[in-house]
Amino acid sequence: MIHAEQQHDWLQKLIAQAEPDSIKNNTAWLQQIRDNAQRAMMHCPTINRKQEAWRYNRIDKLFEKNFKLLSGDVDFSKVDIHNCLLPAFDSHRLVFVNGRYAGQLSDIKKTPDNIIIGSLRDVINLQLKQIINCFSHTEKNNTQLFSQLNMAFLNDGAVIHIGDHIELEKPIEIIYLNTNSLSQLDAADNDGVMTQTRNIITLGVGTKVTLVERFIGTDQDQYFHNNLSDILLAEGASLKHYRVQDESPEAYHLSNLSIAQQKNSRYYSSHMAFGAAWSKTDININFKDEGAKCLLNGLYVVGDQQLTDFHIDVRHSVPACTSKEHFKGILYGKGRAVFDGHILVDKQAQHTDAQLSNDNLMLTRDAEVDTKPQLEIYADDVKCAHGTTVGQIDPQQLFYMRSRGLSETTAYKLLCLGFAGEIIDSIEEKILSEHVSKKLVQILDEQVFQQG
Amino acid sequence: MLTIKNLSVAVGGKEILKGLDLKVKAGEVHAIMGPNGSGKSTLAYTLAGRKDYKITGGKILLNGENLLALDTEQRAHKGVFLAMQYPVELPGVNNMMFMRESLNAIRRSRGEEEYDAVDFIKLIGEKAKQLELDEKLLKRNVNDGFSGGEKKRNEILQMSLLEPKLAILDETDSGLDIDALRIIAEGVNVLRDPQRAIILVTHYQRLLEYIQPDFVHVLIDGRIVRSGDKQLALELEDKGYSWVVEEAAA
Ligand SMILES: Nc1ncnc2c1ncn2[C@@H]1O[C@H](COP(=O)(O)OP(=O)(O)OP(=O)(O)O)[C@@H](O)[C@H]1O
Ligand SMILES: [Mg+2]
Repeated sequence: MIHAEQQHDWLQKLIAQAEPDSIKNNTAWLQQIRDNAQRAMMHCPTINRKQEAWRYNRIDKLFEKNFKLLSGDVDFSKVDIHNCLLPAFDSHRLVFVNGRYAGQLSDIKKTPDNIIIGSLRDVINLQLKQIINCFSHTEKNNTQLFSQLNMAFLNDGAVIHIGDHIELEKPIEIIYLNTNSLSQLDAADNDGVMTQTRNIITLGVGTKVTLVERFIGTDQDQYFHNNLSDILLAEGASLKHYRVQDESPEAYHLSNLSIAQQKNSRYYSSHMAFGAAWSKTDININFKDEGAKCLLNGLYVVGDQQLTDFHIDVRHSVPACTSKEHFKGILYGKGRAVFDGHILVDKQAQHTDAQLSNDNLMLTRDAEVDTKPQLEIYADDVKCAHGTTVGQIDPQQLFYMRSRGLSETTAYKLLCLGFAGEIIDSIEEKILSEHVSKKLVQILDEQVFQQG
Repeated sequence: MLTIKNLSVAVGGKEILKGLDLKVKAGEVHAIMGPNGSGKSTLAYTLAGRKDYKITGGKILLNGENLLALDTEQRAHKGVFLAMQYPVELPGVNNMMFMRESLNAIRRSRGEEEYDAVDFIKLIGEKAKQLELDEKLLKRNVNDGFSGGEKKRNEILQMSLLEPKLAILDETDSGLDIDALRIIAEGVNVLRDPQRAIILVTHYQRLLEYIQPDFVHVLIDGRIVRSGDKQLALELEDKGYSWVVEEAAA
């Protein structure tokens, strides 16, 4: 159980560390927002496990950690980025190391004025209206502790602003690399780096974009990455969004995504979670106008010493929108997962089509999943469904495969891959889906079936 | 090739096979018939090595080797193949990939060279054609959503691919249309070979017209109570099982 003092002290220590340079600039409004956020977070209610969002999650472990906010420059020349790249993957690439934008590791060509792909630090002085709006929106509406924390100690982030009627050929790729080795940390008195990244993504009318986000921890480091993203899709815009959380096995990872969808817009996404000791992803979908559609696929693979948590909130407040969520989990060892999917259909949201499903494959007895799909429906002319399964490998299937000469491990592996295949195949970027598939095989080989 | 001696098997705590004897030599085709629930599938599963089938007595030798000491996959490596009465669906597992993995696992165990993707596609294409199996089924997931007949054809495709030493076909003829029955029988006949033994579990004389058995056995209540040649199958078709039961009791 967390005590109010524990949370308070943890935040207070961070404020004491904070140097005013996290983002250096003369923008008074930003400084104002940061100051406000520091104050606001001190007044956030104490997180406790009686709250639905934290019911199954050991947040107290996080508050025991003494994370360091970064100050000073990071020497990017020491970073071996090639290890992190997907071979032959051609993208507009933004690389953040410990939350700082690394221009020299990125690959951004000059773009026309109606296409902005850059770091918050670099484009903030353009004072894009969207950025300001976005921040004040969060300040007022996203009052959760970790969103305020993100603003209070903001490092940097990606700003993607694509104008109307543009079809971006190459995907945009954001790589977040976290490593303690680059920062002058006094190993004795801290538990690693704390990183706050903030993304603002806006697609104009009828614009089509693919966005890949990859969270990477190269070492066995412990650190805390707190990511906050706002995605605004204008009328008829379409975003394909693929996220791969592959943090270090010791890491703490938090993602909070808010997606606002205008008329007939499309949000197609796949959310993969492999790494981190503790990871929580909150996804909020807000339909602003009719005919919009979102598709959320997810895969989590969770083993010993790991907790992976997905919270999905879809709000149908206007008629005729479609939402489909399909999350699958593979759990092994003493892995723990939480899936909380909430769909709200307001009274006026007639002709809503909302589907939610969560399937879990438990490879061991000690693994545990808490799955809680909820439909809250106030309209009468809607199509809604939800379903959950928690199952084991079917011995009949194993027998069948072995009777064809496959070893038990191979049979297990093929069944696991088969289970996850549907989700992995929903990634339309071939190179990325192969990468994800390989990652799963690697986990199965190295963690689940060590004997190979 | 195969010697089964006084075999007793319990399933779910209940004794199903009760002292079964059977000898099958290389090159022979044996048909096993018998009423529902008499233990035919139990025998088939036991030969293939299902773990939940408890051997309570007796032994099984395959070419002199103790079959019961081998794991399911090891038996497959030795050439045991079971075409199942109810083939299992494997959602998410591609049929073509599964068969290649399977063939290569068996070849690997024998120190033979593995098939690469290109050669395998050629091989499987030919086999599928012989069995008039729609190539689209190869691209789908194993048995997933296949019709009853398609599943049976897929089993026979696997059999002709793996070229087993001892093939057990558990009611492969049930649920097949007349053309499919003929095609599958041809598939089996092609495999007839002095080095190979085949056990056919069936309820129907019709299959035995296409695949002429050397021996016919009647399995009742966990035991083989009568053996004969293919005339016996005709007699059973005609008169049912009750007379066999009566004579066995006498
Ligand atoms: N798990 C189990 N627990 C208890 N009884 C079982 C179990 N599995 C099979 N049996 C029983 O074993 C008996 C033999 O079944 P088996 O499938 O071998 O029959 P069969 O001869 O193949 O019949 P059919 O002609 O209908 O295919 C049946 O009475 C069946 O109900
Ligand atoms: Mg049977």
